[in-house]
Amino acid sequence: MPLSHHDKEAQTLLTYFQQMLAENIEPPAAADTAPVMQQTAAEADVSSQEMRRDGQRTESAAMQLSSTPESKLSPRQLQTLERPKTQSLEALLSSVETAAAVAATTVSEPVTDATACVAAVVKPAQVQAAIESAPQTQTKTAAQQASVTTLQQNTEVQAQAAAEPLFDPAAWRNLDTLSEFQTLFFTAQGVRFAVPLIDLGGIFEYDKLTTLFGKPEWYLGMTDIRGHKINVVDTLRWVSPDAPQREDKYPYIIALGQSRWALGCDELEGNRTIARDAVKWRQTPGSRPWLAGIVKDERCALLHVQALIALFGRGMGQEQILHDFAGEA
Amino acid sequence: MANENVVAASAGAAEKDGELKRWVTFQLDKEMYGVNVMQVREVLRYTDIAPVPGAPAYVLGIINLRGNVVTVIDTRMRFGLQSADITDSTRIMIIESEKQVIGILVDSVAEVVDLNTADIDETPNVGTEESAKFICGVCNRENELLILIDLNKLLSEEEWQEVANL
Repeated sequence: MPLSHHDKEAQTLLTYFQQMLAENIEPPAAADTAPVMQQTAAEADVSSQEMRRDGQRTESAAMQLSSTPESKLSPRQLQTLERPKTQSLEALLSSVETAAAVAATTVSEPVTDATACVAAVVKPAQVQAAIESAPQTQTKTAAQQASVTTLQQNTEVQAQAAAEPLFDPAAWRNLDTLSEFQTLFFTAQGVRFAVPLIDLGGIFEYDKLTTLFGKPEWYLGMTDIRGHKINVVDTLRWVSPDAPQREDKYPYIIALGQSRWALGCDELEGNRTIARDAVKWRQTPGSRPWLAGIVKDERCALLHVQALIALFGRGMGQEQILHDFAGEA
Repeated sequence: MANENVVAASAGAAEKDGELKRWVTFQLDKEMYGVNVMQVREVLRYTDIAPVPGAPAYVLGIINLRGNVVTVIDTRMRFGLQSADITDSTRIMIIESEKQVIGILVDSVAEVVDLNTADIDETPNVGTEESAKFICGVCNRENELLILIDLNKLLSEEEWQEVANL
């Protein structure tokens, strides 16, 4: 009896994750990890000081976020978290890999037609359901608290933007985290993402988005956050250029570190502490230098914020990333 | 009260490092744009624009401005925006670039504003389309962002030449 499309997809995903999890990959030791960018010794020193300061600030933000009753979830609870309305991350990532296979022949990760097909179709109804089912009170509380506690951080946005180091694929290093670290989970058009809280610059609601002509479709425009101009990225469109054009605006934006860049976000699912070994870490940037790893239980992408900032800063969409990084995969 | 606010705002702008520059703001689609006031000769109500056979697509046609022929550019097309109907607010801004005098068709002309150069930020280096080069910066203005246009880059060297030879 031939397998149905659903069975094929499930089988493909199972194989995909089995292969990923079976890889003999050691998470990089904290002391051995270098900064994600190549820097001079002096710059690295300044950067590390800033990161410590940032860490203190974002920890306070994390504490406030975690003080909301909705966000007090233990890692054990996290394992049983249901995700009925989020899209298959692995399918989405496979889409990118498929594109990489076309762009270069050096792709090392498995690509299947089934997952690519799934990734190519983002169902509007499913997306709408995910948005409508969002617990508004929870997201608003989290957003407002994070906004209040992290607004001050954006005062350094301009200085940090000027100090953005050049991106070098050879210098790519994965995240340097503690054995347990707080992570914010959010969805963009039904796809779940995770980002270490220490790398957050803030979560904001915004009124108006100024669109700039001549920009790629993943660049939504610029918004004013208390006098600072923040560039907003269509998260899903950037990750997966085949995703449909978004009609409405994202209700929230998540500022990346101290940069001028922010990711569009539909739903804030709250922050949780996850163990380092709960993440399948990547050793090489491959064709997705923005992907730090996969949160195993959640099966969602853990974003590499510093890499994202560097990629955005250079205006790199997936096509250019594939061009520049496919050889490194 | 409004005047006091304007004076206070101007004083505040002047106190910052940087130079005050005046910009004429106009609207296209949903966004506000600004061009250096020194490049704006005058603003005209919409008048009939005579099409020029064989002209490039970005040229709407020509108008007669007190005996001088002025080429009018389709700004919406140039900025990659969809075309729109002519309304009572539609204006032709006569501008003087480094190359020559041209007209640009805009949805409406708003006001002249003083902006401190220190408040003008660059836009991200994203996208390779030619039109991205027109934008020379963005600036906060009354809770919205004003997109500042470098008119000298509105056309390439060849296009300026082409317009001159119409």
